[in-house]
Amino acid sequence: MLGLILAQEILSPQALSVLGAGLAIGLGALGPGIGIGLLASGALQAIGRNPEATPQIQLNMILAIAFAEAIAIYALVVALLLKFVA
Amino acid sequence: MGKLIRRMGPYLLLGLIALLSCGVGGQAAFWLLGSLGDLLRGAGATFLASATGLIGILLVDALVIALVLWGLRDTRVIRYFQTLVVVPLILGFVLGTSLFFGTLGQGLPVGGKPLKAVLPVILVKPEPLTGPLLFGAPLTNTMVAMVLVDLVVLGLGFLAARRAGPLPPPVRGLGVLVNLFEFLVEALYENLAKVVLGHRARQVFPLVASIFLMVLTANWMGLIPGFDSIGKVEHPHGPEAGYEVIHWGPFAMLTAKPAAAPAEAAGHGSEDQGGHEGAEQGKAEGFILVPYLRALSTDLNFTIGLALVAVFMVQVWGVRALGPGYFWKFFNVKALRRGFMGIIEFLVSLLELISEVAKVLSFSFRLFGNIFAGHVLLGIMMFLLPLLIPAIFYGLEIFVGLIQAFIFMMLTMVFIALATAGHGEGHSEEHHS
Repeated sequence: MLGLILAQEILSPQALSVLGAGLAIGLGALGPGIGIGLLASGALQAIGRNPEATPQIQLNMILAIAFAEAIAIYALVVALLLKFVA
Repeated sequence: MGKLIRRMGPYLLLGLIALLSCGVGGQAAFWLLGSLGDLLRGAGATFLASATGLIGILLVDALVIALVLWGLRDTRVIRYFQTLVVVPLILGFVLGTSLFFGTLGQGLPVGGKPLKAVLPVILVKPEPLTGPLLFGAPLTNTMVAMVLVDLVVLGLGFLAARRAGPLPPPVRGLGVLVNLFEFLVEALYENLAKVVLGHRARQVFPLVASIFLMVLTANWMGLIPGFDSIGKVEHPHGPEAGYEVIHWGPFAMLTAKPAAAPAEAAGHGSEDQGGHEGAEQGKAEGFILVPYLRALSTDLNFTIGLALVAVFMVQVWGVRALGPGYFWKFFNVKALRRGFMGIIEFLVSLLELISEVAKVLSFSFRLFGNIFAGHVLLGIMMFLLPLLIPAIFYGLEIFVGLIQAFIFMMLTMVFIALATAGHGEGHSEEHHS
């Protein structure tokens, strides 16, 4: 299929790499997006139940979000490489 | 507290040296050799629409805020009139102007070329400003930015340290700065470092606070108008065609008129010395902007260097706390005696080694990715709608810059806390078995 598309010059390799970049960041942002949503929901519930612990919960939430976000950043780096380097 | 600030100086210098040596090919202190003549020889300073756009944003924001505040003073009816009529009018006007200078509009014709926001040429690599200087590596614009960041952080630190201590009540001038610095350091120390690091906070704090201050300064400095938008105009080295420029004496400004494609350009006569050079090599006639300054964190060399320093210091603190036994964490040979489960424990300890490398990767790519993506976002927003809308993203980027600096510091602290305490659990486990 892909070979056929390439052979008929419907999609050039550049077009494919741009497509790949879009797919990489689009799909790569899916999981972390859900993960950060879950984290924030959990943290908000915790703050709602125990408002005195807000600073610690916030701190840990931001840390965990950083870890979740790192995965999106990997996807972003792949997308950037596909778009601007390869 | 003043003593703590004073102790951060050497760490900052150490960081500077380590970072510079972590750069391209381990070349240090180029900026001493950087030939200023070569910097200025280019086509002169160039102002992209983004700089003017940003000033416009600030002006418009100030206007809107002033109007709203003015309205708040008055009676209710007048206030509603102002909010309902005047503010939308102004916003509409700004949006209209924005469209005119943005991607959809015509722009202001100057010398037959449209003057509007230009889609920036996005490069992952930092742009070299000079030829090869030291060990074959050129001076890049991020290195200039780095020296600026270092000067600002070191200068503020030393100024604050010189005057540290309790000040008499009428505080102004330098005293405000000293107070601000002390507030920052104290807030970080009392509320964060002590909580995370416990009794080790006093020793580790200078390192992590230096990281925080440095990354924060680098991120926020990259948002100052002029970064990414003032530089020399050059012919593109890649496949892009570039844009045509307007010359005003020694200055030049990119216009939104795309230059002719390289193949067609060969037939055209060369207009100026730049075009002559371009025609000679069969390259595009257009120009792209090579900024003198580029946000530091958009250079992978910087983020990887900082990540290496951070992870290396984590190992140093681990060894300082636990002695050479710290490395049992990575090669848990002792566990091999315990049969099958011991082998699995040994393999897990090898995974620990890999996760140490992954820390460098995630540290560096997190900072790089966030700030780089932010700058691409700002550039594209500036291209689509130069006024008003980028202000929102500008605010977002200020926030992201702070959060990323905070996360870098926080993770370093957490990793140090884990490295200094991690083996303690292993000990208790051994006593147990």
